[in-house]
Amino acid sequence: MSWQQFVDDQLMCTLPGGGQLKHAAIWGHDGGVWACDAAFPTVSPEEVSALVEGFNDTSKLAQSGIRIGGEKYMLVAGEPGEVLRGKKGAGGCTLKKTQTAVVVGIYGEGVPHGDCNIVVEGLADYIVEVGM
Amino acid sequence: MSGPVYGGDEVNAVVLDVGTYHTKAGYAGEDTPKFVFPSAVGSLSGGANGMDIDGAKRTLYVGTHALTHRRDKMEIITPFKDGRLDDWEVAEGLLDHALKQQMRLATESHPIMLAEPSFNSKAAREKAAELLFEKYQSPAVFMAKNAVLSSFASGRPTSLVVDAGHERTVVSAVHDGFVLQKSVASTPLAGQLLSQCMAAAVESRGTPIRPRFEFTRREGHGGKLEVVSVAPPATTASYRAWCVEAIAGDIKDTICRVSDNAFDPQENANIPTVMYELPDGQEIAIGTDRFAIPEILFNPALLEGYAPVAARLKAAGGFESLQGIHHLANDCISQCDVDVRKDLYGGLVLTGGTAGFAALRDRLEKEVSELAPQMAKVKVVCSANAVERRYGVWIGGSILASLGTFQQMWMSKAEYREYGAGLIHKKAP
Repeated sequence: MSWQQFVDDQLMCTLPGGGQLKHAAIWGHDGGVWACDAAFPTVSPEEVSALVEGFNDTSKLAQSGIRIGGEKYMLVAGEPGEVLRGKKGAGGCTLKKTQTAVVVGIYGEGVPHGDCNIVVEGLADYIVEVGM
Repeated sequence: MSGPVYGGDEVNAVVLDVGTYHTKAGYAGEDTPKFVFPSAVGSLSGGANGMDIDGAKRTLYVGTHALTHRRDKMEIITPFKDGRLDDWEVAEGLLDHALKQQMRLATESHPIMLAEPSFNSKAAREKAAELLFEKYQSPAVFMAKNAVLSSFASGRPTSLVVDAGHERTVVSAVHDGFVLQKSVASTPLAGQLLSQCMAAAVESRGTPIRPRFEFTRREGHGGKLEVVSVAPPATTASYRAWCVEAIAGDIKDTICRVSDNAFDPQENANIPTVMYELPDGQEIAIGTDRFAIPEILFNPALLEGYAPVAARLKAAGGFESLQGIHHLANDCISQCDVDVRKDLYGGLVLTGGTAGFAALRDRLEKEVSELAPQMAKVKVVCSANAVERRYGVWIGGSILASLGTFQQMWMSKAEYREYGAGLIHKKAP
C-alpha cells in the first residue's frame, strides 16, 4: 500500500463517531511530506523537524505551541516520546511518531478528540509494528 | 457510533473521586457527593504473629465506622504512593465500599466517571480501566484529570488550578479542558503536613493529644466525671498517628488563619491566643502557631520550628528544594505557552480541602502578583462555600458527566472488548 492510500483510507475515513478528520498527513523524520490529503496546509521542513525534535523534548513546544502550516495549536498533555496533542478552539491535532515517520491528524469542530486519537494512533501503531 | 448512546439527563452515571484524604462518590448531576469516607483503610494481617508480609491475606477495614473502632494490631494504610494509586488491593477495597456497600449499585448499568491525579501514570490508568470494566462490568468509563474537573467546577475552561489537598498540593494549567503539557507540579506542602506540624506544636508544649481510645471517663469523687488514661497495648503506631492527625487537623481547620503579610513567629510572639478543647477535656491555648502553620505554605523554612516534621521531611529528601505554593504557581505559568499565560494569571483557581484557611485566597493573590510580570493582572478565585472547595473535583466530574455533549466521549465496554484497556489513553488523554 502506498502512503497516499494510508492517508485516504485509514485517516480520512469515517470516524467511529461518524465525523471525518479535517486534514491528515504522513511526514518523514527528515521533514519531507510523504503523503497528505489534497487540502493539507503547506508545511515547511523546519516546522516538521521542530515537531520531530519536540517529541523527545517538549519544553520548547510547551512555550510556543505546535505549528502546522502556520497554524498554532496549544500543546496539551500527550505521551512523552510518542504522542503530541494540540488544541485550537473547538478542534485540535494529534501527532504520533514511528521509527521513520510522523502520522498527523487534524480535526475540526464537532469531532470528538478521542476519535482523532484512535485513527491516528491506530495507524501509527500499525506502522511501528511493520518496522517503519 | 460504536458505543452506546445515552440521553442527556438520564445517564445515571456515577462519579468517583479517590482523594488522598477522602473518597467521594455520588451520582452525576447532583451538586454534592452522596458518600464521603476516608481513603485510609485499616489493615489486619490474616496470619499468626503478623509475620506474613509477603503475599499473605490481609483483612481490610474500610469506611468511617470501621476505622473509628480501634482494633489490636490494625495498621492504617493508604493506596497511594507519591500521590498516585499504587496498592490496588486497597484501591479495590475503597471502590467496593463506595459502589457496593454505600451506594448499593448494580454497577453493570451505570457508567463510571473516575477522577484521577493530573500526573497519573499510563499503567495506573490502564489498571483502573481494567478494574472498572472487568470487576464491575461497567457499561462505560471515563477518566478525567483532577485539575480539569476543578476547573470545570469553577466554570472556567482555562485556568491555573492550585489544588491544596491532604498529601500534596498540585498546581496544573488547564486550557480548554485539557491539562497543558509540562505544567503539572506538586509539593508535599499540604494538609497532612500542616496537621503534623500542629500535632508537634501542641505536644512540644507538654500537652499530649490523646485520641478517644486512650482515655475513658469514670465517675469519681462526688459523682464528678474523671478522665482516666488507658493504654491499649496492641495499638499500632500508624493507627495512633492517624487518630492524632485527625484531631490536629481539626485544631488546624478550626483556629488557623493565613496572615495578610509575610508572618514572622519571632516578631509576633505576643499575639493573643485562642483556646481549643481537646477530646479529653484539656484546654490548650494556641498563639503564634495559629498563623505560623498556614504560613508554611508560603515559607517552607518555618518547618524548622516543628522539629519532628522537619526531620521526617529531611530523611525523605528534597527538604531544601521545597518552595512556597506561590512560587510553584508562578513557575508553572512561566513554563506554559506564552499566549495562554495572561489567561492563567487572570484565572487561578484555588481548591481542595486545605484551601479553606481564612484569607488564603487574598494572600495567594498578593504573593503571585509580586512574582508575576508587571503587565499581568492576577486574580485568584476560590469558592466561598466550604463544600464546593472541598469537593471541587467531584463537582466538576458531576457537571462533566451530565453534559449532553460529553456523552459521545465515554469509553464503552464494547470498545474495551475490541481494543483493550490501552484505549483509555486515546479516549481520555
